[in-house]
Amino acid sequence: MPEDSTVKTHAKPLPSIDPDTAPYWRAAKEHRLSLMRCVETQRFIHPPGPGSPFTGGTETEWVDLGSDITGTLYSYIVVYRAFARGFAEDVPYVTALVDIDQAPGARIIANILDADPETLTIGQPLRMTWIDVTEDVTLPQWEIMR
Amino acid sequence: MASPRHAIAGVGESDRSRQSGKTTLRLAVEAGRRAMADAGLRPTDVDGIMSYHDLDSTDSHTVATYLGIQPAFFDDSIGGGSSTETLIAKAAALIDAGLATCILIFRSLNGRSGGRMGGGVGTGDWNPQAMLMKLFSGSSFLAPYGAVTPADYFGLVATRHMHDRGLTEEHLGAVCVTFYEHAQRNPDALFHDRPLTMEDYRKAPFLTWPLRLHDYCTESDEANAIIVCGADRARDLRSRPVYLKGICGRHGTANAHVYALPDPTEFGAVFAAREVFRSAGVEPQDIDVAALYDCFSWVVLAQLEAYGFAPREEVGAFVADGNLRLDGKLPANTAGGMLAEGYTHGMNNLIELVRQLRHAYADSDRQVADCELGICTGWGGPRSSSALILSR
Repeated sequence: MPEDSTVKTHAKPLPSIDPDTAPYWRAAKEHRLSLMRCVETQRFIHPPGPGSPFTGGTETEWVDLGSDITGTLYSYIVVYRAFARGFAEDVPYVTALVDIDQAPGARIIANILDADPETLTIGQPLRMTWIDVTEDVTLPQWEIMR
Repeated sequence: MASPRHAIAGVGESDRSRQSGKTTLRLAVEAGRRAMADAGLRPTDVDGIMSYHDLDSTDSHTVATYLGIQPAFFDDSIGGGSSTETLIAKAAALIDAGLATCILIFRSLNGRSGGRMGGGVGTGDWNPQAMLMKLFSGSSFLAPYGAVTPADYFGLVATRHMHDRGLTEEHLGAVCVTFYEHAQRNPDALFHDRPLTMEDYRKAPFLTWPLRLHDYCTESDEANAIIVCGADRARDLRSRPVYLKGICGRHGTANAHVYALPDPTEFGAVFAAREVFRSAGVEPQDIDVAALYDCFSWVVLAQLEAYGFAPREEVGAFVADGNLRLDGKLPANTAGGMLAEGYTHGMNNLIELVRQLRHAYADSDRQVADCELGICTGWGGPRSSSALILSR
């Protein structure tokens, strides 16, 4: 990870990374998407947890979906008044709930970077990108498909 | 239906303000004393006490101390919306189990001058953003993206819900204008003397789109208290009892992280509705007066659908046609609701419902004429809901 002053001063909330979620964030650091899947039902599980919400059982596996990830906009908010720490300069910003094309049934919430809120439409395609925010944390994000 | 076994025997609240200058202990004691006076109960008649809180209040044993109650049972639950009904369900079960006979339930907070839930901005050592990050399922996948307030959490579902059902800002605004109108009849409402027109509504800024300023509830400093006891006992007390006809304590969706559900608009309220109407043995069209959880105006629209008060595609027209007004098909939040009266995460709406069913406003323009059956709903988010049905 390159030395970068903006990286060190990331003022926004960071995820709490725990043993259940670490593989997701480890993959994100490599700019890849890895999702948990229920072995029995083959359904994706996101956010990851200590087992399968579909069976109540413990058999899960991690699936590496690589770095070429696209999504479909399911829903979104536009935040005009920032209450979240570190977001004051970003308003208005868009936080979106997005269906993952490569993992049917899974949705990921992230910002749509450089979005014009007026032009967003539910159902529009998006592409995943990754932003290194600290030495330890990389956030998956969405960008508009051009 | 078997006759109801439980009743709400007394209700009371502290003064309501933006800056109480009092501790949550003092506010709770004021509300508790008034609820006991309303029921005509002495401290020694009360043997149970419970509260809900978000780490922003005073524990029930301490409140009991200053009410002169020595509790045989006391309990404090962490929770916001939907907790009022959850604790009433617990109280009914405790009474049935013989663990207590007369239970006081309170909620006390300096919600405006102390920590403010809406902005996620705390004071001193109380930080609602940190609290919600601990309590909210999957928050590590939300907060890094600037989604930290209830409006953000709910908005991610609201946008899709409104899109799918054809709901617009006119429908959100109709809920706000109606409840503000009700607050003009209620001198104790925080927004009494602050009427709202649709034009005012439209001119107000978005905070988190699709929600504007007035779509958010008030924040107030106050305490509320209610007393639950057996129906037979309640009949001998000072105030007319209102009977608990059916209840759903708190129903969740299949996944606490609602965004992972195949359809996040299949709200927890859908399940609570099924349960409360089944347990009461009544239908939505039997309800005369409603107290619908209204932390946001959108939540009212979501619940009208979930509880079957209007067909799914007609909820917008239902509110735009004025059906939540005092002379509408479902008079709702008749004291102004949390949008315009005050915000105790549900209990102030229930207190108003009890008064409506007692016909406490019989000589004024606040009374819903001839009401016999009422519903109070609680909403802990798209993922969890509670409800109870009361009869006169």
